[in-house]
Amino acid sequence: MPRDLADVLHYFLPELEEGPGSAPPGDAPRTSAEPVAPPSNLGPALSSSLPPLPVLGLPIGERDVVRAALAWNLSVETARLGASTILLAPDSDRGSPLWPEPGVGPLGCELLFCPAKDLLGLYETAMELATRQAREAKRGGIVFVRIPTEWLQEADMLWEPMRWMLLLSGAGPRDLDETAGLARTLYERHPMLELGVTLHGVESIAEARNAFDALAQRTDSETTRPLISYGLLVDDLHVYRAIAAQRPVGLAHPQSPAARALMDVARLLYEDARSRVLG
Amino acid sequence: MAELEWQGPIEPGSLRRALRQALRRTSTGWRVVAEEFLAATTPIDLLAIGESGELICIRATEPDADDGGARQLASAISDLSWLAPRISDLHKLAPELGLSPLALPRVALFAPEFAPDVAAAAEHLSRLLGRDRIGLARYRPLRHQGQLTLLLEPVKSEFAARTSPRSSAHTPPPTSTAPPARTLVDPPSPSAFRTGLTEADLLSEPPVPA
Repeated sequence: MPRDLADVLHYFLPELEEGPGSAPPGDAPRTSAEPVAPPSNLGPALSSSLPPLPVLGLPIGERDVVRAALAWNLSVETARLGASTILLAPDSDRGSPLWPEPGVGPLGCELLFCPAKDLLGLYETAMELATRQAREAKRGGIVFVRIPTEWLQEADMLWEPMRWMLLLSGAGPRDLDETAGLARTLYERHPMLELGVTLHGVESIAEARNAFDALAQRTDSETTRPLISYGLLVDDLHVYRAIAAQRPVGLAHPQSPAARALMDVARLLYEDARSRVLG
Repeated sequence: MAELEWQGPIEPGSLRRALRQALRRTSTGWRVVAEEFLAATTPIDLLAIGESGELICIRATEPDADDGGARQLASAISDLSWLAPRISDLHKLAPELGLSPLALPRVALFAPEFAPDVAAAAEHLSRLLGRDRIGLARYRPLRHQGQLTLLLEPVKSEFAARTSPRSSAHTPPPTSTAPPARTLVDPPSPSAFRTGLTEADLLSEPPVPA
């Protein structure tokens, strides 16, 4: 059967065609800082013919400015790769030093708050956004969700929606202990979860590799589940300067090691996200 | 281990997902970029990019197929000829994927079992084409915490091993110092850590002199 490359290119790239109910192209991007209302019913949203964008959960403490900055920078770098990205956080974060001003930010990356009070509410809102955004995302994307770490401790929490999470971990023994404990808890509660780890605050690839290997080996022995590696990030002076200025590292210091590492982790996340959309 | 064996049929989507997860553990340099990528006549299960930027066509046979992998091998040969002239176009259209326009595509075939003649044919073809461009691996479906998990094992043809010049008593051992060719499915890596960075990327740029 003779074929032209154009016939199959969309399988490769994966460009998601717009559905009949998609928003007109002239629609202005959402710039309001108003909180996103949680959906009352996920049924219509999930009935869309287009698969929703993957939702990536990031457990981040309420005072963890560094991890929040890394998450925001990752969403910006993922957008630089051509993805459609949204960063969603609970409304309680509004005005906190964790985030810059809400709305559409650098490279179209959007920061939104929602009035969710628990993990289920947060995830429902994320899914609503992921479904809506899939109609406009020509090249896929990711909805990043900040999950307050204290919500993960709630024993009666509904875990089922969680599918893909990323733990940002330091490489020191204490950090690895904490991450291993969290990984064990998450895997015990949710058999469908895929858990990734990015090591940050490292000074060499060997240091990151050794830390990841130790963490993966421990998680495997405790849960018999694998950890997915999402590279390493550097906490150098450029990161802290960028945090203070609330500017993305990749724009403020594009030649810095921190920017290179962010780009590399974003690439790993985006590749997996595209695979998920196709799968 | 019988209680760990997967019982019942395996949906194609589940098989692809389990294979992708297994490759994540065993072939850390591979990056899956598409699923069910339509080739000349049939969709390729997974399309990946290897460590050298080469396109890797991955096909998995479902357990109930009874042709010993023959149909899969035929599709693989078709895939190679179909993909090769399109590599440079794909590179131009999606440069961010890291595809090398100079690297020839490879195929990786997975099945519960391959017939001996299919394995021998694949090995012979791979030798003719060079650079391990066709490789086979068996998979064993297991149930782990309710999920389908695959154990992968590279296949080497007994026929090819018997007829290999290297195995002949009359042939001196190869003296080439070239690195050994890579097997199709990399042996389980001691580390699943992934990064595209080098140590040089973590060094700060020296200040530009005024």
